[in-house]
Amino acid sequence: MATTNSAASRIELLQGTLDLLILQTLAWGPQHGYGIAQMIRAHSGHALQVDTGSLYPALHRMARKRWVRASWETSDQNQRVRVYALTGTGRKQLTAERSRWDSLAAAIAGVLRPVSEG
Amino acid sequence: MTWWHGRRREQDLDAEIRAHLRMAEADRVAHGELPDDAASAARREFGNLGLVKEATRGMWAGMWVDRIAQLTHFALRRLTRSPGFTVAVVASLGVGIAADVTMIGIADALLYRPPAHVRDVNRLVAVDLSGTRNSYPDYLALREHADAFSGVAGYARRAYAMVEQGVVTPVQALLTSRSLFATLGVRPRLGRFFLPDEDRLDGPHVAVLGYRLWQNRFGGDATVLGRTVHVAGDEYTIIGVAPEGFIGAGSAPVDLFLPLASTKFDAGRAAITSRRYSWVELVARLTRGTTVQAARADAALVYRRALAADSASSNFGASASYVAVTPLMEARRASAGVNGSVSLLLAAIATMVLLIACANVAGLLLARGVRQRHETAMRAALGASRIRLLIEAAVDGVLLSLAGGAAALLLSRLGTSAIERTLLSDAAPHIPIDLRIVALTALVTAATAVIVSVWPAWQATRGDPARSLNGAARGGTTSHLRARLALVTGQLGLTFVLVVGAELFGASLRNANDVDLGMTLDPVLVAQLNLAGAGYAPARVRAELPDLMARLAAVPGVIGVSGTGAGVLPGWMNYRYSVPGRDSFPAVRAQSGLPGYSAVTPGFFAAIGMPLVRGRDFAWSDLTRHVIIVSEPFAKLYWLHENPLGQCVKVGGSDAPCEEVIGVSAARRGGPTNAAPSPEAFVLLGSVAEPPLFLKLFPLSQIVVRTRGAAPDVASSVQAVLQQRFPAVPIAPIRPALSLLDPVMRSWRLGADMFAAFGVMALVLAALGVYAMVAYSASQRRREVGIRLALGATAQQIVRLLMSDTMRAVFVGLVLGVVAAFLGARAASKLLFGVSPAAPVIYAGGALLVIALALAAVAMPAWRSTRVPPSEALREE
Repeated sequence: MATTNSAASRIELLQGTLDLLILQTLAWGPQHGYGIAQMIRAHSGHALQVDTGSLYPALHRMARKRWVRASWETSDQNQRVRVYALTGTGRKQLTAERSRWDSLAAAIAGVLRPVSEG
Repeated sequence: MTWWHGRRREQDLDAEIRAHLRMAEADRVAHGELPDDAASAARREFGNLGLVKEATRGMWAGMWVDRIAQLTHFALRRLTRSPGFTVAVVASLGVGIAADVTMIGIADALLYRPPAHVRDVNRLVAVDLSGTRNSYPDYLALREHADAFSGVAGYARRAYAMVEQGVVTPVQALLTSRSLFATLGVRPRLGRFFLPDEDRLDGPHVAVLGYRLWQNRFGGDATVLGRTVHVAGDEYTIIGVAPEGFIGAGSAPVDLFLPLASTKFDAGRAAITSRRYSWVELVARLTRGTTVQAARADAALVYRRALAADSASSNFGASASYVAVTPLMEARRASAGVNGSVSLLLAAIATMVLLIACANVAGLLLARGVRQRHETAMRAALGASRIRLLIEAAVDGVLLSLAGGAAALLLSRLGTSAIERTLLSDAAPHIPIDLRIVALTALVTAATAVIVSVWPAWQATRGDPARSLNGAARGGTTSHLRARLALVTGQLGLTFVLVVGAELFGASLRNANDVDLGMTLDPVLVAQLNLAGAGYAPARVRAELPDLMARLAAVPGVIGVSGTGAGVLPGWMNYRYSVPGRDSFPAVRAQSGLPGYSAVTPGFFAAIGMPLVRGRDFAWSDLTRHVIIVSEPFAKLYWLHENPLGQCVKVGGSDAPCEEVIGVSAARRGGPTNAAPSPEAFVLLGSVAEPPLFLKLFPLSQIVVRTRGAAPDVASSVQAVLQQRFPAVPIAPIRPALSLLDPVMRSWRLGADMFAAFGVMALVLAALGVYAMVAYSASQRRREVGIRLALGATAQQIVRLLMSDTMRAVFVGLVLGVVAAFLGARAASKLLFGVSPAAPVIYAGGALLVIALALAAVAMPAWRSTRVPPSEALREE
């Protein structure tokens, strides 16, 4: 099966990075839960597999914090789906999380580089 | 957050997940998978549906409300599914908690709770200048001159009759100084309290109603102010209503507040002007920073100066050497006396009942936990967290305890008012259900909830679910049975203690009742009158006595009647006697205390069932003759074996005239605790033999009426005759003469009644506990019993097998109970009468009762288990 292999190469998401990924995904346009999971998977070259047990709690938590707004829409397959869209607060949050991620990545890179050079 | 809102959110989540699954499925089909495979693969990829939902729900706002609602909903469903169990638990808890809260409430009211509406009780003190109450001038001196007190109030209790529109209502009146209200810090509920001008000799007659009387007699009517009532023969104008529960600084109910100085008292005007009459109780508020010791010194100083300035005071030996200043709460505790100790004892006993009830509930919950072990283990195996299962069990416990607590509040309300009405009618104040009691209930309930619910759940979820699942069918583990046996052992031990207590107090009461007082006070009624100071000239009362007695004797059902100057029972008054030539006898000189004195009308000895052993009774023709009747101990004291008839007795001292002894009465005593009958003498009321001072002070204060059998309407007829004769005189409600003994009998009666009530509760609860345990263990061992029966065991052998564990618990419980009961009884031996705390008969009787009960509770379910055909029991598994 295809999933057996991908499960082995799957990367555990760092605590807090899921929020960033979801916010970034929604920055490109409103999306439903399944779509968000698929997009993250596609954009990470199938390396990041979002666990539904983390995705939906995260979405509902963000909705409570008013970072995203949820609404019911009808999909192209004529199905009622709940679609999440970024709010103004969410956009600000995305900027904040991004800069935090950038500084974190830089810091980690800083730690790793001397080791690889030495 | 509404339930409906929660429901919609739940449906939305379901729809969202359904959509997710369908999209995933469609994608897979689009990639060429078979529809059926695609559906199950999508499900597998999604993961545990329940867990995802649970985690998502955890993110919702206000979720805890929903979660509690959900937990409660499930718990209610579980509890209503087994109504028998629920009722048993709630009833056990209700009875146990109610007993405990009621008794603690009563002990609290008698001993620890400050009187209602009193501000800052810690600065209040009871003041006693002479050891026998205080005089009115002393009250004034203290109020005016003692700097240690910011307020001093005087009061005295009197039982009066209130006449309003022809209806006579007995009332407990508090004659009080105007300063009482300010000193205690209380505000009127309606109208006002006394003005300075209303608290003086010959002041206007005004009255403040107690809340209870206002409600019961006037229906809480706000227009009652300005209306007039007759109290103690005088017209009083109602000027105010006291707040609910206000009874001054004492601890007995008060219906009516009257000004201390303007009201008639027993000794008339002299009681206000002279130090000779000690009748006022004093309560004072310490000025800030003053210690009790400093206040005592100040009060003594003021008293000494006042006595020095009063030339008349030396006549009756007043001195400032006594003077006691006691914190009010301490004084109240001291005055609660035996009632207080009995109520504390009963509070401890009630706590035992609660423990027994808790043991029952714990046993029931434990059994239920074991019954549900399979289900619990199954749920644990399916991924329910242990915390969740424990919380569910805790919610069950909390719900059961809340229900039990609610039942207990109701029961304790009923119980408190029943005890107030019957056992403590004149000793206890009104006991309101106050917040502290409610808090106590909540606390007891919560503690019970923790004990009874979480422990069995802990037991049930302990260990490996797979093993529990395998072992579940085989039922209770040995640790569970051991726990239940321990509970039953404790229950039976406590029950035995209660049974012994009931027996000890019952025996005390019987012994006290059996003591021959030398009188037969049943069926005898007694009426109390308050003629003194009510404007009735003593001479006129005396002149009317023969006619009044004749009129009372004519009431149908009356077979004997007599009036007394002071009181019916001996010990009301003692007096000095002199017998010429005998006063120097060693026996007479060695006699401690003075002989008793009573002034009675003809027929007294027949009316109270006290035979005359020699001579004759008084007759009205003796009014002008110097005659006297003495009791046997009196005769023996002065004349030993000589004939007392015809001898001379001088009443009051050697300079008094000679009274000729015309009769000798049998010996009597005033109560069961009086060691031996003391000597006493009787004179004819209103005759020349009576000392003139007594004639003025005690013209007629009690009337005894012997009736033919129990005659309920005789009381009202007698009351009517008296009220008609003395329309302006307070006549206390007529009551059985035996009730005169109530104050001495009360502690035993209270102990016997309450121990018996609690003992029965404990027996029932313990029997239930034993029965439930044996029935349960028998049902768990059905298979074993079936095999044994199939292999040829007899029913007796099976019953013995099933009973053996329990009967061992019974005996261990009894041994513990004997030790506990003995220690308890020895500690309480001062409260017992005529029975040893170690009386073997009592312990044997109690043990027999408990064993018989346990046998019955054990044998029934054990025997029933042998009635099942072995084939059936074996086939079940």
